[in-house]
Amino acid sequence: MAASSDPELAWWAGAALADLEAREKAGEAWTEPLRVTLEARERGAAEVLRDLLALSRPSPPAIDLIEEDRPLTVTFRDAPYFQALDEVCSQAGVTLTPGPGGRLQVMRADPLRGPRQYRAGFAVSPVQLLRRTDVTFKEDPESQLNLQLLLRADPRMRILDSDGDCVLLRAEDDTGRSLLKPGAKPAVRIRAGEGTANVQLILGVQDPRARRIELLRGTISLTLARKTGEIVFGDLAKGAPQERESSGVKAALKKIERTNDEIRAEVELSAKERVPWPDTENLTLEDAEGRPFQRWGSSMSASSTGASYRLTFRDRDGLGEARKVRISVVTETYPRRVYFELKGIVLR
Amino acid sequence: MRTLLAALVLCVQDDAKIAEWIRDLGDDAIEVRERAMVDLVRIGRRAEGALRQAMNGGGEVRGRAAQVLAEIARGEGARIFEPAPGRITLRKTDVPLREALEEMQKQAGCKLSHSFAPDDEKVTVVFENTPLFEAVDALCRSARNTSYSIDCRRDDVTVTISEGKFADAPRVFRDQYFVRLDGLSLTTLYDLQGGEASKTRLDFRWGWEKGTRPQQALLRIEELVDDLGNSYLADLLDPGARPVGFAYVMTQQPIEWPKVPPPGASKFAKIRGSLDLSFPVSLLVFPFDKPEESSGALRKEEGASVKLASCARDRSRLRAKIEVRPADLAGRLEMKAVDKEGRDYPGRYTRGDQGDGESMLMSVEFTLPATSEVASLRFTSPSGARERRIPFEFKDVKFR
Repeated sequence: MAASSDPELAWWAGAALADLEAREKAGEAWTEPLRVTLEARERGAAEVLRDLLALSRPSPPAIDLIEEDRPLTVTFRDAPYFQALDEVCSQAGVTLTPGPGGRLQVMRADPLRGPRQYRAGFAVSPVQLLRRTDVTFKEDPESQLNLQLLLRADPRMRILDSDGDCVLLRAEDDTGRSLLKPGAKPAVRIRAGEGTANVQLILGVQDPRARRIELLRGTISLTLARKTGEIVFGDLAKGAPQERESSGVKAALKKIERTNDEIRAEVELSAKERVPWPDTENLTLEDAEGRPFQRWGSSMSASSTGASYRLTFRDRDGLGEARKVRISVVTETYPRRVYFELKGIVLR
Repeated sequence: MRTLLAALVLCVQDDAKIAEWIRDLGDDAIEVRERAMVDLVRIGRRAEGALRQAMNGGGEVRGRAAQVLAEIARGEGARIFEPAPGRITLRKTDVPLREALEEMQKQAGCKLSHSFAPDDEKVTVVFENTPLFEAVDALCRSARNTSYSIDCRRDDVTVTISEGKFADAPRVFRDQYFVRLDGLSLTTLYDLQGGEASKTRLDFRWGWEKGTRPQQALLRIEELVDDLGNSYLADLLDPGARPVGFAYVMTQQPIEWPKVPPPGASKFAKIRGSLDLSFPVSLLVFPFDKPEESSGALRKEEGASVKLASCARDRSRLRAKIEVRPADLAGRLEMKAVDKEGRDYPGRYTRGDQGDGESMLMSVEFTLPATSEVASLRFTSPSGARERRIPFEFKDVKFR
């Protein structure tokens, strides 16, 4: 069917095949897309959001509520995770944005309108649309539409910071004009730590009579973690350097020191073969019960043979003594192609 | 010997004439008084001593002598701060671009840098006393795939010729100045939270030849209409106050407003305005010889003063504290340390504190070779203002 002469059939068959391939390549790392069944009556938005986030991972990020909370009522039955999250945010009139220390900030804001696709553990939605005309006096004036899409991945998947790719297959306005612009290559910027990718599309301008982008269809290629290994440094009280090795990756805890409620750590990783270096989010500091300290600042520099990290944690929750530094290292990866289709992006 | 004698005779004749014109300043006939003023201004600085003596007198002569002195100072200022433009005279037929550029470089008062001038690129040029920038523009326009840029930073001006399509931008050249509309953009943000926001932006750039840097440049738009007759003048966002100061003058300015022309419009029918330049009339100089031994010294010029509170050397750094009066003089001061060989080293502010309300206390620092011996510190400030207006009118600027 993917080779069918019917483009619609071929498209959807291609999407289904991509899911099957992903399942096969992911092996043990495969997780069914997260779905939500939840009923909340007159409950605070922050409370409902906390419940939803708790479904997504064992240690959900803390939420900072910026504005006054307001009660809401929602019912989800086997709904895609991001659809439930967006619905709660929309009803509460808030948006979630990453804040300092890995926390999520709940900001009072009108939710973004526009179409969304929730499929196979991913959410794709437009976040910005700009029409731009530039005159340089070297060529005739040139106009284009710049459309930015946001891809969010199921929090249980681990997107890697490797190069992403996007292929736009169809883009049409509601007058039937194709908006595909020859030679315009989409740019994909992956934010592994947030589990998102920003896709910047350059489109041709719409017909003057057009009121919306009727159809936008394409694929986004990502690299996901298939197998991970853990490196754990314990016995931190002495503050002495330590070395460990796991799955071909050598790790050295060069330094760990505490000043009041601030703990600083320096870690170096090296490997003979090229491996995707973990993001700073994948280095955690825990207390004796495995509760994470809040990450307060981090920097990372990497080459093909090694990576070094400087991390600052804060004990804002009164956890006490830091016991373990845990590093999650990716040892195997697999490619994932995400098919997306958005309809009815309003142009005025 | 004969030349010296002739010069002496001329001087004596001038002195006699100057004395006569100064007497004429008090003549009963207004035509005689006006004529004498014109003659005195024309002879300039040579009449200054006699005019200052005439200021000790009274009545009509005193008043007119003061006017003549001010006019002479303005003329001197024009010569110092706005010298005559560089002119290119060149006639070449079918010569390599490189050769034409090298000939122009000999006549230009600034650096002509070319990263692109292949020998097989031939040009024909006929420049007769043509202002430099206009000549560069004509040269690049006639050559194939050749563009240029003009960079005016502080006192240095560099014209760079490079490979690339020539931008036929709306532009005017007036003597040693140019004003150009470098580009424009129309943007509409379709807000996915509802509504939309639009913006039009015109990017203007201007410049001047070496030695002609003004103390202030301000772009004014007086008329801005599209081909449907819509005027945007009332929509222009206030570009804000332009930085004033002799050390840095703006050479570009975006003109923006929060809307785009309607779909039926395809060009700006007219963009009219002016680049308003302001030049100093004179330069106030506050010199301190042997600064490390001159703490407490005070220099005064035209109601302004600089006091050297302290000055100390630490290897390659010379640090000084000065008190300037009035306080706004601080923003206009340029500072140099001059060594015994006459080399100068620019200084920079490191700290400024309000003084007694009318003065400013400034910490300044000069970096210079550890072996150099500092002969003096020189603080200078432009004084007065003489305006020059460069009008422009661009028609039929297409945007769709």
